[in-house]
Amino acid sequence: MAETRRKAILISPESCIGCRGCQTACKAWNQLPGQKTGDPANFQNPPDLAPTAFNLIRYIEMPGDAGQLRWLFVSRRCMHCGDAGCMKICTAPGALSRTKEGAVVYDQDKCIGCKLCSASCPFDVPRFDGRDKVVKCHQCHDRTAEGFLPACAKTCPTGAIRFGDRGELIATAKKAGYEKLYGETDLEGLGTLYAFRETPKTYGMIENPAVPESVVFWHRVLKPLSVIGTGAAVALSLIHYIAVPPKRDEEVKRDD
Amino acid sequence: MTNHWLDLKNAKVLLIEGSNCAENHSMSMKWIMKAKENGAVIIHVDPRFTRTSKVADIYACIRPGTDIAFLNAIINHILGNRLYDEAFVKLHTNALYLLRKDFRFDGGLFSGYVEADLKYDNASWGYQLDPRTRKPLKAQGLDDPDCVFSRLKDFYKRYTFKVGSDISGVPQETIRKIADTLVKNRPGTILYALGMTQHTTGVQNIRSFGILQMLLGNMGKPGTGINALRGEPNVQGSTDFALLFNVLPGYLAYPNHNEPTLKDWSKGSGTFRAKFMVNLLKAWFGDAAIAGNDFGYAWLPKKNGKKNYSIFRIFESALEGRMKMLYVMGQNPMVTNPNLGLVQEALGKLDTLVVADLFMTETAAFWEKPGTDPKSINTEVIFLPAASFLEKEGTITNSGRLVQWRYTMIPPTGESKSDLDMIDLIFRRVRDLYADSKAEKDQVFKRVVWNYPKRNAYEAVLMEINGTNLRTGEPIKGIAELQADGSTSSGCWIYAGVFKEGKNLSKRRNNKLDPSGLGMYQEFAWSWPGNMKILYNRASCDAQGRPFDKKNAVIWWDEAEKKWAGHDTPDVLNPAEGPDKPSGQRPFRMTGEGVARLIAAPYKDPDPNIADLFRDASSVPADGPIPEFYEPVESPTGNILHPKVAVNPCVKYPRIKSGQPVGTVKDYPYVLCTSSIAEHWCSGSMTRNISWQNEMVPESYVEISGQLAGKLGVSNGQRVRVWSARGEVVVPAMVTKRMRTLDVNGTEVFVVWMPYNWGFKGLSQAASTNLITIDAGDPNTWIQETKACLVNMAKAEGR
Amino acid sequence: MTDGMIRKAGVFEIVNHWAMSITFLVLGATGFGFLFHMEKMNVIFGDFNRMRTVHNWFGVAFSVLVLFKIVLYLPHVLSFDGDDVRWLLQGGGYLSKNAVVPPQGKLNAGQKLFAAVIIVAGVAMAASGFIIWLMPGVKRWLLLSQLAHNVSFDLLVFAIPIHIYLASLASPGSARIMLSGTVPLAWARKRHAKWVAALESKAAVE
Repeated sequence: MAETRRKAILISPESCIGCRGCQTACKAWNQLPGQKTGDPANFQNPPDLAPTAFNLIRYIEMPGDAGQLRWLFVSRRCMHCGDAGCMKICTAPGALSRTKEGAVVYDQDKCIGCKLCSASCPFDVPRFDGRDKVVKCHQCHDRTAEGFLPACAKTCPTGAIRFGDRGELIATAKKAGYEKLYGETDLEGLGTLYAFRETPKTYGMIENPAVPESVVFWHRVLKPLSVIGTGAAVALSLIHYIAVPPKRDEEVKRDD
Repeated sequence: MTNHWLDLKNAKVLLIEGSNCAENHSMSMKWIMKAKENGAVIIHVDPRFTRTSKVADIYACIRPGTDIAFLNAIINHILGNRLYDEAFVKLHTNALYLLRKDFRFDGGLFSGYVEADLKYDNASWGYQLDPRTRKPLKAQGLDDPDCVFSRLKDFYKRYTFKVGSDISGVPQETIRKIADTLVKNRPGTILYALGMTQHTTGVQNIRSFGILQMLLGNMGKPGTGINALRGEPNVQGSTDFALLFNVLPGYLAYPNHNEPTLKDWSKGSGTFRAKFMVNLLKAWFGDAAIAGNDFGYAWLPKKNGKKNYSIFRIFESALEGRMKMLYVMGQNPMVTNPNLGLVQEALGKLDTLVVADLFMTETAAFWEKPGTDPKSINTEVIFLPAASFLEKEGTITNSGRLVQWRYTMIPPTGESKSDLDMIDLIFRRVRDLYADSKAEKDQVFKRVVWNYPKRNAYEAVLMEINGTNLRTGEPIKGIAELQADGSTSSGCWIYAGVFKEGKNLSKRRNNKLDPSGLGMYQEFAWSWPGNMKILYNRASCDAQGRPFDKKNAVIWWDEAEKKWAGHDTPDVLNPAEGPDKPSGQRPFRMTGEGVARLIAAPYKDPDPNIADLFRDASSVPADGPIPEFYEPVESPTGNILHPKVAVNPCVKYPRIKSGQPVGTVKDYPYVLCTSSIAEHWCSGSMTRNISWQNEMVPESYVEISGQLAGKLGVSNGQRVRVWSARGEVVVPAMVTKRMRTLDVNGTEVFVVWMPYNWGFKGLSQAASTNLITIDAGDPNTWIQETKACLVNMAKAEGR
Repeated sequence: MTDGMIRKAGVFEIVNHWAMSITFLVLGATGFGFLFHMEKMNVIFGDFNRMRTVHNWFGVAFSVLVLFKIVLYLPHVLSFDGDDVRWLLQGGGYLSKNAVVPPQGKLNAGQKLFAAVIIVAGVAMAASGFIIWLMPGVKRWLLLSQLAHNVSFDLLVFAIPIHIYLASLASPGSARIMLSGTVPLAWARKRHAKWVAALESKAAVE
């Protein structure tokens, strides 16, 4: 993937005010219905990503300095990994693909609903609609292709969600004093970058995200081995047939 | 806003008090975060740790209704330690003006209190005047014992950090830290919203801001000011156009019964405003308005000068059987009014109720309220479907006074109509009905010029607002062009110039041109007055007209060109009159004195041309010239400053004994504060009908601290009963660390908080919080005290 | 044992074998299709969704057949003995023209091994397939199943061509077992000495 062309979303939780305009904007653009949520006593609603919720603000409360309260707001959505576990494991051609901007997008007509992508995603992102078809944040590729910002970035009042050239976003964040961005190099670079002041864990993100080892093993070994194995079996048979031609038994001859 | 939204980015410190702008004015955060990126310090003062507190550098948890005690402690610190901007204070405020010697403050009362009327006779608050010129006498220095500054200092002495802390619950160290931060970081701005105004001391709360900013020299410059974050997209516009009962468009006083002639009116409002009144009358009555008939002043209906027509009195009058019909547009008082039980009873006493709205609101369906027998209500209700903001065009004026044109995106749904179309149809019909009337009171319908074209009616109205030079037929270019002789018209003088040279400037969208880099964007839409972005910007310069801060200069006196110049429209009467002229030294030219008033003394600026009239008057709060702390009407504690005058002495409450009970701390030990949230807006009539919003916040709730939850035996999500002397609701409890227990006057005070956005209609229904809030009001604005009342709570049974 | 012929496989066994061959071919082909995104397969199935349906339902058939397979062959697999070990060590005599291998039962060691592979891989295939299809909720299980499905796949796509070769070209006369079910007695005696001996002694007892 040419890094110069790759676009990304940069999320800066320090600037986030948790207004959830991004959640509503996402629903508005993607025409997603509101779901009934049961718990009015929790701030985080819906509680998790859903087929009708491609992004959400995660609210994290923790003790801060000098008895003060610390409240973190972290926007969660598809990370658009450079090395995407979902795309790797996907069984249906074209169901998951990468746009020229680098977003991992889906085609519901091509998705066969095997749901393997959900297992292969290190971030637990893919969800499935009523027809068992994959749905998730697609970085508003239908907007970005026309030069518009993704709905969430367009709505965000504070610049906590920014969309732009991936390299430039990284450079801007570094200038603002962030040494290393979450997702800068992980999984061949994430398409959703995070500017964290502290450890990713503080913000509820996994450290060193990776595609599951079994999927990597399958992809590197088992997948090629299936062809090699079949080929080898045929080849071995052929070699054997030439090297040790079968002898015809007397009994068989008589029977013929 | 004295300044404007984009200007927030220029501040080095932002004091956000009584506003949860991250949630209720999320867009403000665009500029606040830019300031923060540039190193600005954000201070948030609020009873609850909110999403705004999350981005604040300093958070102070304050008891609702005690802002004056907190702010006065800061002001006292600044006064006592000479931390004020002395040059600014001497030049641009009334600090040196000599006050009358009989001005007193004692035992919680200013001089002139008339107990029988709950009112002040404010004569003793005035200045010592030069008997010849009728101008105030000035002291030589700030230490003159009779000057405003000395009296102010003396007044504030009582507000030590300890007093401020004991009353407000904010620790002394935090008050000191905030005071020092404000002093060290300038320019500094203040943001507030309903958290400051919805109190029985609402006006005085904002006065405290004024005094603080004047002392710090934070006015008229970029990154300064006192900025009211207004609650609705066009609430500024609607206020400019006489939303309130006591004003006409452009904040001209509404004529009273005892002002039968224009001259009588001018005696109360001054010759400066009389000019604009003439222009308003010309705009309304056209050719029929001539000098000989007082420009049609007599045709205006007069209100009873002794009566209060505020929203509370509307419902109370209905209760008293003296209101036949109510027409409600864009409001849902059956959710938003305090003490809702009273509102519903009042609506049921009306003959006719007309409601224009997007959805069938709680007000339109008040007779459907659970527990009501519709048969017992005889009110005829007419519902007019209204067009949404996407279905109509016209201007909206934002908090920064920016007038922006909006276009129609889609035609109105079904039979719905825009507000303007509805009023147009109704007016024409009413005019027809009065066509044959000979009665003098009905003349207004016949005389008024009302024939807007079917096409472009909206721009025709804006054109009338802008006004016309009747000699040339050209649109008015600005306020300076308006004349008192009837040769010009303007439907709202502060908007004069919005249609300069026949161009609708509210349609401009130049978002590139900002040569100063200060976010002025002079060619993006148009701000009143005269496309001015920062009000009082004359105060950014010294006596010679040189900017105090060269780097962030907005205006200056250009000696070579002999005029006031700069990046903003200079806030001076005449741009050609320099600092050497009296008009060049009136940075706060909308006061009689021409300077800011640390003590709001009554003063009438003499008119040099007309002996028996004055030019302009300074407005004086009804409840005192300096903000004094008074407890809310329902308070968990006594007033430690003056126990005998615990509550604002000008507040009359209850107004009707039967429907307005007052609870005491014995029965109602907890303080309830209410406000809105990011996800639902005002009465929720729109947002509660959007499933996206209901998904995020599905229901009303009460936010309580873990300590209180423990005391009540309630866990997160469990339903609780919350009741006050006025009503009761059952809602789930949200138990958080964001609410704290306060130490007030040595005792523990629990504050709880509830959103007020729910009612019994719409896709999301829940009990209205306003069933329990109090409808005591500020004596100046009659705004309700929904930010502080007393409640009791218990776990709801069987749930 | 008339005409010197001996029945080595029953009708049920033969039908099961060919049914399994068909399901295997379809499942294997579609499996490769999923694995390598072979869009050419759309010529046959229309699209991948239909291919998935076919794959899943053939999988159901395959699973049933695997069950039969277990019933038919598990006893043989479990009868693996010292002769079988030696047979395998000698490569079943396939490595030279004049090899002499230990006597074998009804199934030789290679066939037992193959039956074991089919049973193990078949059960793994079926189980993991059903988990992927019907219980995708638990991620850990889904991942494990995906691994098991593919390991088994690799095993089968290697083992089956060998089985086809060994049962046809490499061993003339074997193919008829799965056609008519009978083999010449002498052929059987040579290759499955222990089985024929057991049959004969049993017949003698009777």
